[in-house]
Amino acid sequence: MSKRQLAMVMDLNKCIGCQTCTSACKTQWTNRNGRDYMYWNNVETHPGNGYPRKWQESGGGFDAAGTLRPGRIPDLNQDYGAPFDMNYQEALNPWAKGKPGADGPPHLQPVQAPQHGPNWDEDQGAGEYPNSYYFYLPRLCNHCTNPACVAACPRKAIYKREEDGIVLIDQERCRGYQHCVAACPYKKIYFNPLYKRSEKCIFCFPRIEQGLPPACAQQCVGRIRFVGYLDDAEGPVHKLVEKWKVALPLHAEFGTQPNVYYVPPLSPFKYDAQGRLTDERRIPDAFLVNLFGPRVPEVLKTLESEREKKQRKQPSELMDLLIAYRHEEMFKLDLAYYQKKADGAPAKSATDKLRHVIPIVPAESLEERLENREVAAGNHSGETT
Amino acid sequence: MKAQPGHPWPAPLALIPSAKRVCLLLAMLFPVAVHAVESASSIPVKWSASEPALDPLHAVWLKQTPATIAVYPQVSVPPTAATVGAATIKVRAQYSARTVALHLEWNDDKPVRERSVGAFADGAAVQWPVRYGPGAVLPYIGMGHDGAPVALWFWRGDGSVETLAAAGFGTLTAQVPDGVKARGIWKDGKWHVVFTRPLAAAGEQRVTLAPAKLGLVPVAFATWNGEAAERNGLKRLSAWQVLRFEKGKPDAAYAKQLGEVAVAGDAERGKRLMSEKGCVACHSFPGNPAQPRIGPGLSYAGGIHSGAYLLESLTQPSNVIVPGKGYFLAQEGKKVSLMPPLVGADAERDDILAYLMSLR
Repeated sequence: MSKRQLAMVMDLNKCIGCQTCTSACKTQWTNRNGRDYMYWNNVETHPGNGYPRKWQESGGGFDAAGTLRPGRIPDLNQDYGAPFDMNYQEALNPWAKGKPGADGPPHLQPVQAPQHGPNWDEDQGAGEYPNSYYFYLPRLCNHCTNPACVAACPRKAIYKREEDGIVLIDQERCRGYQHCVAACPYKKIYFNPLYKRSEKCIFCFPRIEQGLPPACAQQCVGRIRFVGYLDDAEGPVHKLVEKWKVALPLHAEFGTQPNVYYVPPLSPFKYDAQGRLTDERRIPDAFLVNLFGPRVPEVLKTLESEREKKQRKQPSELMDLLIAYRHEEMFKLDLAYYQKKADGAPAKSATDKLRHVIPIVPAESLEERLENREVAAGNHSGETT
Repeated sequence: MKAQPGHPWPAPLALIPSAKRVCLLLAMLFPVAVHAVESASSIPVKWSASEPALDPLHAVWLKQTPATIAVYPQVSVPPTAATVGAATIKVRAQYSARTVALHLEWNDDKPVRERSVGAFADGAAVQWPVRYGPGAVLPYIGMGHDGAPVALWFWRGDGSVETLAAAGFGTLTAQVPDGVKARGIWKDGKWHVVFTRPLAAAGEQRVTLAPAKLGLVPVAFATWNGEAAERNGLKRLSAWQVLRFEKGKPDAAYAKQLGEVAVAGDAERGKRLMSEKGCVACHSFPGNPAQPRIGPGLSYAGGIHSGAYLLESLTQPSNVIVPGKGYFLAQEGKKVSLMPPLVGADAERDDILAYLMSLR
C-alpha cells in the first residue's frame, strides 16, 4: 500500500455527458502515435454496453479468495471501435472522379463501416416512455489499491507510486504481453499497437506534481469531479468518501479496491398508467446497486434529505460541497509535498514551478528516442534483475 | 495431460495407439534403468568456408540433415501455456571463421506476423548461457537464474530481432544489439528462421563463442504460436542441448560434464513415492488430481530438465530455486526454497528421479 492515496469523486447527479473531460484527456495524451483508439477517460451511457463494449463482463479482477480471475482482451474493432476515416476526398471534392453508388452520387460516409465506438449507444438507456431513463458514467483508471494489472504483469513493469498511489506502467520494462489488459476488470489499460507496449491513464501526474488537478477534472464544465488525498481530512474527497459516505466505488466486488468514487444519481419519479407521478424513481435501485454496491439506497436517502434541507434554506455542508460554488475548492492537492520530495528544499511558489520551460523536442527525434529506449535500458543497467 | 480422479493413470493413455500403449505398459511393468547417453542431444555445427546464408530457404540449409529437438509447453510458472504435449523443431547449424548461424524449422499451420491489440506474432528464441565451460553450472532452463544469466536472441514474425539477457523469470532485459541478424520465411505450413551472429561480440551479457577452444556450447530453444495468443511464458521450450562445433576439440571431462547422468530408478515406484513423499501437495503433474500451483509444474520435467538438475533439485532444492513468485523464503539474507530436501533412501530418490525423467 502506498503512503498516501490520491482519489477522485464524481457526482453523477451533475454529469451532463458533454465529453469535455474526454476531449481534455484525448488532446492532452491520446490523439497520436498509436493511441488514437484509446480513451483513458470516457463517458458512457448506462444502462448500456459501455466502452470497451461489455467491459463489465470481460473478466479480470480478483475472486473472493484473492486469486486473479481470467479476463479477455477486447477486440479492436468490435469492442473498442477503431477510429475510422470519412471519404472526404471522394464525396466533397467536385473535381474528384467519385464513382456513383447504387444510391446515387458518392456521399459522405465512413471509408470502413465502423463496428463500435466510445459512445456507440450514447443516450439510448432503458425503460419505456414516459419512464425511460439513463445516466452518464465517466470512467478512467481507478488507480486501485490492489491493482489487478500489477498482479498480472509477469515482469513487474506496472507499479503503484509510493507517494500518492498513482498506478503507472514502466515503458522501459513493458514488453507488450497484454496480461494487464485482460486482468483489469475496468478495461482501462490499452495496448499501443505502434510502440508495442501497454499504456493507461496516468492521473495527469505531471499536473498533480505541480499542484494541479488532472485535465479531465480541470475542464469539467459540470463541476462533477473532486480530486484530493483520501487521508486529507480538509479535502473534499475525504469529506465525501469518509465523512459523508456518499461516494461509492464502482464494482467493488471486482476486488481491486478502486480509488475513483461516484455519488450515485437520483432520478425523476415514474408516472403510473394514468399519468400520475409515483414515488418510485425511474432508475431502479437494483441497477445502481449492481454498479455501486449495497449502500446505494442509504446514500440516495442522505442526498434527498440534505437536498430538502437546502431547499428549506437550512445549511447543508454536503450540498454546499456537491454544488461546488467555487471550482478550485473541488481540488485539494499538495504542491509542497512533491517539491519537498523532489529536492528536499522548502517549497517554491507554484508560479516558479510553472514558469519552468521544457525544451521542445522535434517529434522525429522523440520517436527515435522511443525506439532507442530499449537499447538505453540495456546500456545503463548491465544488470538484468 | 489431465488426470481423472480415481484413475491410476491419466485418461489420455487410452488415446495412445495400442502398440505404443503396450510398450508403455511393458515399461511400467518391467522398469528399465535409464542409461547415460552422453551427448545424445548434441547438434552438429557444420564448418563452412564461406559465410553461412541468412536466407532460410537457401540450398545449403535445406540439404543439411537437421537435428530434431523436442519442445514442451512451459508449465513451470504462471502464466502457463494452454497447449498440451510435446512438439518438435528441426535445428541446423553452421559456422565460418567469423559467423555462427542457426537454422530453425517448425510446423505452424497459420503464420501470424502482426502484433496488435490482442494479437501476438509467432516467435522463436535461442537461449545461451552467458558462462559455460568446465565446472560451470548451467543456468536454469527457464530464463536462467540468479547468478547464472542467459543471453537470448529473439525473432518475431513481424521481422524484428532483439538481443536480450535474463537471470530468471520476469528479468528479461533488452541489450545493446550484438550483431545478431534473423530472417524468417513461412512456407508450406512451416516457419524457417535463420539466426546469424559474428562469433566475436563484445558485451557483458553475451554468449562467448570460441569453437576451437571448447567445441561444445550449450543452447536451448523456444517457440511461440501467435495464433494461440502465445507470448511471454506461454511458449514451448526445449531442454539444454549441446552444439558440437565440427572442428572443436573439447576435453573429455567437459564433454562428460555436459552428458546426461544415469538414472537407475523405477519410474512406477517413483510415481507412487510422489504421493508418499508429499510432492503432490505442491507440484502439478499428470495423475495428480489436485493440480496445485504452490511449486513449479512438473508435467514436462523430464523433457526440459537434465537428470543432474532434477537430482540436485530433489536433494538440495535451495541450490537453484526456480525464480517464481512464492517459491522461496528469505532466511538470514539467503533465499531458501520452500521445498524441503527429499528425505529417504537413495533408491527412493532414484525412483522419483526416474519418474520425473519420464515426464515429457
